[in-house]
Amino acid sequence: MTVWLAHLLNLAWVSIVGITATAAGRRVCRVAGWRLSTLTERVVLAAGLGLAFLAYLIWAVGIIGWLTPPMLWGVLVGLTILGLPEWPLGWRMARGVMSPRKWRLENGLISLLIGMIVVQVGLIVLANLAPLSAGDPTYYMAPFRQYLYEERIVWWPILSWNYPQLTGMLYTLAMGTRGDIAMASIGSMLTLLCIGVVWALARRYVSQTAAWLAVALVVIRSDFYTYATIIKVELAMIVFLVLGWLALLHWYEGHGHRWLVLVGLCAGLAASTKYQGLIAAGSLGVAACLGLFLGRGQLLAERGRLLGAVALAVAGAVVVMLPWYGRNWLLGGDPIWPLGYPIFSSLYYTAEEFQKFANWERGLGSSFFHFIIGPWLVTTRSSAYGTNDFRTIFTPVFLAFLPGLALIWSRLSIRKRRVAVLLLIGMGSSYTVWFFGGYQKLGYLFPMLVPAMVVTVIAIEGIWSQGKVLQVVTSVGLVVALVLSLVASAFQSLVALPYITGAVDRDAYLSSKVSLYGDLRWANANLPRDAKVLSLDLHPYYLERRLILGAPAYSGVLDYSTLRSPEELLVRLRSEEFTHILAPGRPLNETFAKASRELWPDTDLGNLVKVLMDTGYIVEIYHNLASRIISSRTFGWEDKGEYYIYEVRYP
Amino acid sequence: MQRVSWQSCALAAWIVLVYVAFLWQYVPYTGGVWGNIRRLLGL
Repeated sequence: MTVWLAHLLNLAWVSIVGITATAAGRRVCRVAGWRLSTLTERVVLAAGLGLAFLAYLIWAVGIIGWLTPPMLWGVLVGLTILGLPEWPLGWRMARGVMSPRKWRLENGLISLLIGMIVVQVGLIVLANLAPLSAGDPTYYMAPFRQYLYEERIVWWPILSWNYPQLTGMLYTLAMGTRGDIAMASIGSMLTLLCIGVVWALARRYVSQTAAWLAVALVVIRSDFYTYATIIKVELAMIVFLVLGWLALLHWYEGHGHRWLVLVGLCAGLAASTKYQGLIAAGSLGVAACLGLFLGRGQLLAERGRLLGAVALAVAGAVVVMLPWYGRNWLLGGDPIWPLGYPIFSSLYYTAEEFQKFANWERGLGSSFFHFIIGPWLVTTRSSAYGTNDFRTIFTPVFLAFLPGLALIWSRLSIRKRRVAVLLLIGMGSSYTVWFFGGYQKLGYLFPMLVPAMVVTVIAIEGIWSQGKVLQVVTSVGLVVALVLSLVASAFQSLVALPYITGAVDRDAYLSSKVSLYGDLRWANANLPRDAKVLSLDLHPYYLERRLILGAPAYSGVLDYSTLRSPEELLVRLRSEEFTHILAPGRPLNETFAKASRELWPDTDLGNLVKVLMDTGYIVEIYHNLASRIISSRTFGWEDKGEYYIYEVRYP
Repeated sequence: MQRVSWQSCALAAWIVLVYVAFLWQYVPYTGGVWGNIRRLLGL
């Protein structure tokens, strides 16, 4: 019962955040003159911009050093006041949405699609009732917890987390004001927002039926389910990208160059969620440029205004990206740490590591032939490129139905053709970078999902009317794809059931689902309340102590390279006030020795640590020989590893 | 009766081919449908 109550509270909380952000975002849209015609379009644009605005406010608060829960509530109240003038309009919007006329469903297909979407969202919400247990969030949420403990944005979390993290600010808000589990509500909110933006895009440029089909094809997928339940930043990236596409197409149809500025902002926001967003944001730019020369010469007529808008768009994108990319530059010597290694010789990174990812073996291949048949390989061999579980089930709809576009091309309206061409240009440029970038991870195709599915529904809608044979094949194909994905989601949701039904408590649930949880539990029970922990464990999310993430091989926490004696190391540890060190996998000196060999050959860190251990300054207080490492929560696979906890005793 | 064009037939065949190829990938890697079910049930 308490689980459901907590979830209701979170839903209420997230509604406040969503409505507050939307009202503020609406104000921004009004001031900038970005007015879209339909209700959904206005709401999703306002919500997207409002959430981004909120994230930047929290970032600013964090920079000043006021990142406390009361201050986070203060930000929400401030935003509410800012959005206050929009409330009458919001009320009219809500009445519009609620009116029964809006909800009259035109045909059985739409009802079926909505039903499936509701089931999928229900499964996502169900899975989100349990505390986070996947490896990923416990890995990348840890820095935001660190921010809260330090009450400021800490500039040196492990650099591999240093990718842009606008969404991370929203997670910080969730943790600071409603605790751990509120993050799941953020996941549900982003899911709904994704549905809204995809619907708005497909509704505007294809049709109402196509809009529901596009939403179903985007949301009812294993990868979308995964991102929505492990609360990854990908969903926020999708929201900003699709808003960018909406703005781009709107501009392309001649609604004025101010929309180009919005394209720049949305591209920058997408790029502020993750590096993948940077590539996808670039694809918006490519589509805009090529689109100009392909058929909308008249947009070039007002050249002065166009250039001004382009300048503003680029400036807007750079400004919103700066907090994250600028920080990477200052800290790691590489704005896109560590991807820019060949150019910037990124700090805390080695040529070997770069080579490892550049020559990743599990990709499709690197020849031009592989480039051409890539869509076939990705669809029919995806299980060979990724881990062998449900997350790699891609649906075959894009590959299957895209050729249909050629069949019906001559019958398509000019508007649909334009949209299809622009989306395909955008996708093509993203795919090219993905393919030749070397690290062909299938998950990184995700930003192309919405353009792919919108083009697919344009094709499906067209071929639907091309005779009985195609109608039957298309319906069977869609049902197979959607039902398969729904079954996969249901199967994954079952993982959370023992906790939701109360069969196991939180501790027991997390012990069986979260790697190394038992060790963090020991630390929570035994370390003093005022301990400050240097964590070489990359997943210290459930540690309830002040912590700094500081794995030597990735970190700018301590400049280990200058340390020459055990005394100097001790002084450094003391200056950071560390009282304990978490070291998974191997003894502390071995971890430091390895990092030292790879990154700082001039210093023998392993030996320095060893001396401190031998002389009693660093004392092992916990050693688990059989720590549980969960390799699949769904299948219950696990390995064993070691875990050490040390106390630092200063003279 | 409406005549079905060869393009429509070709497209239908392509769609079926893609689906078969897509589903086929899960046979060799997971021990087939039955093998997969058995493993999930822990048999």
